[in-house]
Amino acid sequence: MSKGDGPLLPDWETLFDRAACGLLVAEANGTITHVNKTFCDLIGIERESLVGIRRFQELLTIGCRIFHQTHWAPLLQMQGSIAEVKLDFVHAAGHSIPIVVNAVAREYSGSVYHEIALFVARDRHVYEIELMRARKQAEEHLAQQTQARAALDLANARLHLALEAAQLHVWDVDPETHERRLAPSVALLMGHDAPCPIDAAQLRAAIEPDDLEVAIAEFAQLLATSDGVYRCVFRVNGIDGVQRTVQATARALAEGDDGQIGHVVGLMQDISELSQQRAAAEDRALFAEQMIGIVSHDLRNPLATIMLGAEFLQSAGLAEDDKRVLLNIDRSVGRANRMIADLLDFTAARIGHGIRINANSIDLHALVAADVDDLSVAYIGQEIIHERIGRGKCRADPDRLSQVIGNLVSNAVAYGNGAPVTVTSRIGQDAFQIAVHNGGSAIPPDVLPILFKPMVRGTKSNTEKRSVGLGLYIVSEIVGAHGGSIDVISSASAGTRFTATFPTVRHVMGPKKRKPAGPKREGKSNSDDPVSG
Amino acid sequence: MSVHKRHGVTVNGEGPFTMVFAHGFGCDQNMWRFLEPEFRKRYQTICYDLVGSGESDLSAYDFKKYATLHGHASDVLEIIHEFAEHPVIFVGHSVSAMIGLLAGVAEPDLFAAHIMLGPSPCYINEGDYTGGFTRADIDGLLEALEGNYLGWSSTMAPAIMGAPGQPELGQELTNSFCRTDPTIAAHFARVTFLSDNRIDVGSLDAPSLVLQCSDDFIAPLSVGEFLQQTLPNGTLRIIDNVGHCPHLSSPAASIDSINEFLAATLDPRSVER
Repeated sequence: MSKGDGPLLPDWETLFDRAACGLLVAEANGTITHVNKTFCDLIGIERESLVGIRRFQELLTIGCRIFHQTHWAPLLQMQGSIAEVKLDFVHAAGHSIPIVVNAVAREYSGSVYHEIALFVARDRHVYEIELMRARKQAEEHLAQQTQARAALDLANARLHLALEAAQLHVWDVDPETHERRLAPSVALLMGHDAPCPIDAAQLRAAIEPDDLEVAIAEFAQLLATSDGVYRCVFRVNGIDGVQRTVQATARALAEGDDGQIGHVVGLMQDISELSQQRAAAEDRALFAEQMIGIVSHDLRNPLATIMLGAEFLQSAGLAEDDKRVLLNIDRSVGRANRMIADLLDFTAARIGHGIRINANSIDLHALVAADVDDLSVAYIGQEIIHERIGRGKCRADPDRLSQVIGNLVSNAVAYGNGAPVTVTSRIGQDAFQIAVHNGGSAIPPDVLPILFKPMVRGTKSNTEKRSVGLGLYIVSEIVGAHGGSIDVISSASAGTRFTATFPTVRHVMGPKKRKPAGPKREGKSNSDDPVSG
Repeated sequence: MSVHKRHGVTVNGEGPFTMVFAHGFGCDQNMWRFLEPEFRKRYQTICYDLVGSGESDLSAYDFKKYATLHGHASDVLEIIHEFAEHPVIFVGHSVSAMIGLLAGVAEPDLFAAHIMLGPSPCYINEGDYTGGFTRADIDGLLEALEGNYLGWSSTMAPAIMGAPGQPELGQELTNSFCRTDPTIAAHFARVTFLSDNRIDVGSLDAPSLVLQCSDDFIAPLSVGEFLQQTLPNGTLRIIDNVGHCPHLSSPAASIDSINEFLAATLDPRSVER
């Protein structure tokens, strides 16, 4: 303690010893010459075990000692000082203590000494670890973002390639001005050789005047709805003198809860070729339909005349030989009429608007019984049995059902083995069925999947009994028009059974425009009569 | 990126040999401040920073290329081809002694001699070989380096606390020595302290001086002995010094040993002052 005028402070040695940080002096080689109590307490080693005995660097963890030797010591030697380096010291108890070290090298009497101050840095250490973790996280996020951006760029590049390959041109709507913004490639639609900037006014000026009003109206409609889908076809008169048909589509994406329009993105496409092809196909179909209609109609008139003539001759009283000739005429006319009927049905089903159905409430069993009676007369020598199961009213087109029965029985007789043909009418709760069964060899398996397609026959032989191959196709079309379905089970042992199933409750679909094309029950006066063959 | 800029190459002096100085881990070419001026009086001298250290171009640090010491060895050859005008005396400290060894094995004709300060071909003990460290020690170092993230940057620009007896340093203190990116430092530490080039030591035919400190924590005497026994043309000299940097803490003794070695090894006319 000093006395007199001086402040009442302990002496310098005591102040050094109790300083608020570790203090240490070492020789250049690290040998400790002075150390204060603060530091001794810090690392749990007595002063006597340090001074003159231990080197400063020996108090470090091995990892830090390497760092000290390779970095800290040379730096101190080169700079004469070093500050704020964190080193881990080993406590007498074995654990490590992070300590921030400042050092300065000073020369006294020709010898260099290192004067070192040491501050515990546990909090800084923790903070540093947190910083490092945060930095690592930030780096990871950056890497992820970079990756995502790269993926986005790639996706964009792919999209551009795809758009280019598909010749699709992007446009969108400026959310501020509601003006259309067009991709430079839209210029190609306007007859330019290469993409160039095009504004909405330029495009508007190029649109065929007749189409302009609709195009403007559709666009206004798009903007008026929050999630509208836009689709408009208009013609564009190109600067190259070519008129192109352009289809523009777009979708408005609502943004936010207020339903305001956010983004509208769309595509434009040159569909000139497509629309030309479609128009040509429609022309062809119409022409074919008209052709068949005309031919069928025009064929029927001379056939009716022949029929009338034959009837007239029949009543004139002919010799037996002549009557046979007359019978042949009569039969051939019937056959021609049936073929015309099939052709008209085919035309209606395939090219036109489908087979028309006039559904009425019918007594199914009675209808089938009448048909079976008629068919029994037509196929003399072929036994046809009618089975009836269930009862109730059904709703269907009676003439079309008779056509189905006639076609199926005709097939059964043609492909059967002479054993009785069975026609079953079955009325269930949800459906009614008409089934036709015949014995004989099975339908070849390779034919089964295509049996109901036009121009398919169960055999390749070309006898009098064969028709043009439209029968089953028309049957399936008729059943389909009733909302029903048809299937077939065929085997050598059990024979062949066609079953047409019709829903009783379902609404019967039918076309609207077309006249009923099928002739009435012409199958009954069947010219494929085996008796005459 | 030119080799010059990539490595902050500095060239001085003139003479019949070219002395190339390569610093070790944790430092930069500033550590040659006491040695290089002595030799530029009679040789061409080249100092440079390893990529990832000092004033080198950090952006050139290719983690793949520098995953082994061979990446640094190929840099040595590039520098020699571009700047060296004479047969090379390669002076490598610590890890750079091994980098020079790899370069010497690859293109022996370029090198007249190798001088290795505190070298170690392998830091980890293995069988009869004593490198001085266990794998756990090295892992501790790597952890310490990663944990001293702020240390790397703040020590790079230390506060000036005065440098008595060395006033010329005061000026330079405004610069920062041994600066590097902490991530690179950690990577270089991993490559350095996990390297094992013992198998290459026997392939260096050029005369080599192994200069070792009597008390070096990084490269113990057993390592110096291993090198003397394994180098086909090796000489071991021990300097009485504590630490890993004799060129900084005992420059005079280092210079004497080097001169003695060069006098015995090279054409006498070239060595005369």
